[in-house]
Amino acid sequence: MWHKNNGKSETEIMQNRFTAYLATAVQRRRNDYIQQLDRRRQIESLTEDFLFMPECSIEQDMFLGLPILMQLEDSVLLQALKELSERERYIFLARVLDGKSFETLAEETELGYKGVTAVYYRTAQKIRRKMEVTK
Amino acid sequence: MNFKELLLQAKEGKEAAVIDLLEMYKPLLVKNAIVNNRFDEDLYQELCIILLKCIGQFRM
Repeated sequence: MWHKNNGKSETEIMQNRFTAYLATAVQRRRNDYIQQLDRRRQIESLTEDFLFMPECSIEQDMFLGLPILMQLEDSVLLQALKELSERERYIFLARVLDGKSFETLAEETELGYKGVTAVYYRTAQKIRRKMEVTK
Repeated sequence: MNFKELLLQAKEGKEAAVIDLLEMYKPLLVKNAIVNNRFDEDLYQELCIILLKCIGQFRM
């Protein structure tokens, strides 16, 4: 029954389209689910015990990729950063912390100058909004 | 039966076709249901629902 999909015939193209469609939906649901899980875990662990540090386990995976976040004490900001996508986080942090110019970022990400600035300002707005909500 | 026919039948609500599609995409769903190296059954369930929704909403 199994055969290689070369993407040539009509049905193969449709199958590829459907798979891509499904993969995006699944990925989004997965991200939402993980965020919900984290939020729930944070709330639960806050009420459990004070000695048990809630941030330790949850943000650990983030720390591995972004050592700079170790210095952050503001957990609201941390939470907001955590909810961003990989690309947004990278552009935002590279701009704010490393002081990279939009031109270099545009080259790195292949987004173009306008694209990078758009992502940057949108991200800043997102963070602001999230921080207001959680406060 | 090719994929297009299968999808059409699934859209019409034929259970066998839906099950076939579910079997076909099981690896993708299982792969995405793994969180921190552990298989999350709840998430897998959610993803199965997503597949059913996608079948209904996909425009051919």
